[in-house]
Amino acid sequence: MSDHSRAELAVGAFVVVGLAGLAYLSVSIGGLELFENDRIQVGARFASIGDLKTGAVVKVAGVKVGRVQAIRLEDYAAETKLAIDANLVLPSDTIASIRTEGLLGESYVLLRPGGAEDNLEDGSRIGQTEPAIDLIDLLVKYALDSAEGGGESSEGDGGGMPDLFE
Amino acid sequence: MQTIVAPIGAVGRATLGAVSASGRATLFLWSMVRRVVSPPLRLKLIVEHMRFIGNRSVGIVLLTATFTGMVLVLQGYNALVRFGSEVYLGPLVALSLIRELGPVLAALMVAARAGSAIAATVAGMRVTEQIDALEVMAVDPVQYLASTRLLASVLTVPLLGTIFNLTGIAAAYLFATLVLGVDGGTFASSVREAVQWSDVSISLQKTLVFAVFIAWIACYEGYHAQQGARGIGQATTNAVVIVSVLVLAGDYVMTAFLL
Repeated sequence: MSDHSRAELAVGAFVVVGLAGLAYLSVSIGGLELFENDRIQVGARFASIGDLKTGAVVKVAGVKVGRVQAIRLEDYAAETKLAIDANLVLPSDTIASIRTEGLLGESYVLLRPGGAEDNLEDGSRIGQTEPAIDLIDLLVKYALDSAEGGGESSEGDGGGMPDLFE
Repeated sequence: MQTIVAPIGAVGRATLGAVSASGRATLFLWSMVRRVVSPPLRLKLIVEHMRFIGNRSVGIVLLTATFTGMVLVLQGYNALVRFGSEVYLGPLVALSLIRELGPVLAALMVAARAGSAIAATVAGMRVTEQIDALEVMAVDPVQYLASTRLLASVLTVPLLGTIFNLTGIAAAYLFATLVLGVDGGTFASSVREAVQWSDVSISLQKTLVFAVFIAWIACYEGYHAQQGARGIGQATTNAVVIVSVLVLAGDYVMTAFLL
């Protein structure tokens, strides 16, 4: 084999291995979708979306079924567009809620199917939604409740709170 | 009066010198790029350059990637285990490598190895008047020396970056599971969840830009080397230093725009 054909072989092997590695990195690890699954688009309006961002995951029973395509403010509420796998059959009374992974993780949309007879189609809307749960709001509510409950509050500032709200 | 004027004049001279040097270098880059597509295509030469820049850098890339992956695991584990958050070790390592360390370190290694060699080779040709000889033979020296190396660099450095990323993640996985006792399944699946195509794409774009830096500056410095052995040494040093600074500064700029 001539010197140059050996060089060509070496370079060819390098490029093939490199491209194969790139393909593995992109598709298997990076989740690049080469063949787009058919998706249907569904609208949902939330009073509050918390930390939800475009591109966030949509799940049913903990399994990823789609992504959040768009988020817009409309009439002081968050109007979202969800792209969901077309193979999935979801009844029209499905409930959409905003949850977080663990306590402090990323926000995602959880869909809980209802029992209606007709199904969600491309362009339909999810009627029932639950807003994101704000941990700070919960803590404040708890502090207020326990302060009003009478007597000692375990928080140092607890004594100040009832003054504001009585 | 003179003691005030003289230093200010020196600052002005240095600034003007820097500006004109960048201008010259940019014009050189443009002439390199323009000649990539002009015939003769010199495919044999390009393949040789690809072998030099690509194949011969694989060893050093594998070595540095392995150690980088392992040290990321070591530091990351130390920091995360205090919060019981070892489950974030995979994403920490993989994203650090793919978004930043892979492209930058691979580029720096290639610049140190291939970039210095290219600068020295071209500078040697300039100093021994071989470049003038090419001109006399009506061979375009910029096309023959620089454009071919530019194309070779652009084709190989991104692949080296990919090899760096994969090797780093693999070494991290092995180190974390075999030495630190981290759960392998969680590591692998958390990496898959965290890494997006956008991260891989950013990695590719960075290595492409860095590939241009390496070929461009190495050829420019060599082409414009001063006379003598000193000139060759100076050109080589300049090439490696300037490419390294450009890679790090360019990394910041690209990250600011792309992240």
